[in-house]
Amino acid sequence: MSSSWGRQVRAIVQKEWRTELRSRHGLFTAGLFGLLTVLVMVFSAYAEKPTATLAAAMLCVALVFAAVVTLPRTMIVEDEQGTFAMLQLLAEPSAAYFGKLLTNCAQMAASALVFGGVFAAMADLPVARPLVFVLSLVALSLALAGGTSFCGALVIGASNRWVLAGVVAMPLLVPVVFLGVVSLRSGFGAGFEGSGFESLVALGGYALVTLAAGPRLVAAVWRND
Amino acid sequence: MALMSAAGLGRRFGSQWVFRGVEIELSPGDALCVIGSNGSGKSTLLRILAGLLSATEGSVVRPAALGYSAIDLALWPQLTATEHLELAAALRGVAVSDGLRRVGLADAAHKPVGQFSTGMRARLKLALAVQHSPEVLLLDEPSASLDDEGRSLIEGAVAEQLRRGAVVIATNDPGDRRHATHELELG
Repeated sequence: MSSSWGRQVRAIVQKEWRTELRSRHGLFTAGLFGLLTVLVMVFSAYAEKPTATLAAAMLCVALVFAAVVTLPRTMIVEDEQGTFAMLQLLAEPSAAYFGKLLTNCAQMAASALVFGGVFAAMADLPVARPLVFVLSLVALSLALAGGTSFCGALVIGASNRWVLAGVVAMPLLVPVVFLGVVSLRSGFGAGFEGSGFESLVALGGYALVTLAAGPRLVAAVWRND
Repeated sequence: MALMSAAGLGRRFGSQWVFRGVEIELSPGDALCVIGSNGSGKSTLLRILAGLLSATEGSVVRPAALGYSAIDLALWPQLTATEHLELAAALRGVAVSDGLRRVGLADAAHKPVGQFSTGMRARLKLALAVQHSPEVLLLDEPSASLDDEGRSLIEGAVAEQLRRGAVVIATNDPGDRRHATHELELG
């Protein structure tokens, strides 16, 4: 990693947070959507406490949808408002993508920890394995951020960007959902602790692959020459 | 030695060729005016030269530092003019210059660009394009939407650019064409 690449990544992260804190679009969308989903799920299961497996699936669904509706936007918005050309002129594609990806990771990790805490508290579910639970939320959010950011970056320039991003996201996010449910389920105390850790490692590996490969793949797609 | 060159450049949209066989070679002090009717491919050619669009055929050799300003180039509406210059300087690895004062935007330095008029945006884009003292400056319809003061800023920027490198201007404005040392007609 060269110093100019690192400097560009830092500049993009700073720009992303500035624009996000002023427009608050992503924070509001993820916050409202995620919390609303969590509340609906908690109230719908008010009469009977959900099982650990069902609770893990509900929480995972809330996080997946929060990620899908907000995170690709950081990429697609550049295309929609016409600033993608400016970004191409100023920054290395891989640095621009990685800066946006880091912002998405931080936003998603914060959302996941808040939603997870609210969900567990409101559903009155004991978190039997707190370490597995917290690590699962972090790994799941990084994997979701990596997958959805990648989808958003791939569809730049397409005519039906949002539809296409959703279609591309499907095969990429199915393994994340599966692994997320298994590891969160273990966090809620179901199954063996070992199976939770195995899924956690797999989720972490998935996140690592999308974080490492994404910038290289996107650089090849964004480059015009 | 050529600062920038393009050989056998052509661009096709669908089955329709916009232009073919464009040859460009720019040396220090060259001011190339690209002229032609609407839809002749002037902006497309400049986007290819800037590296924003790929050519269907041919090749481009670009200098390390290239400046580009166009009427359809968008800015981030939430960021201020100062933040734009700071961001561009950080991404390019150059020092933040007094570019805003030079384009007459010092009073609007801390205003979000979303509140700028079209002319103010054009001035900011010019400041961004020349911030890193490019070897070649590409200007697409630079005088469109500018008042007399803005047009004189463009003239000053072109004159300064010609002292350190070359400039390519896509235009049909007679005022912009005055700078030309060469002309390339498309269409």
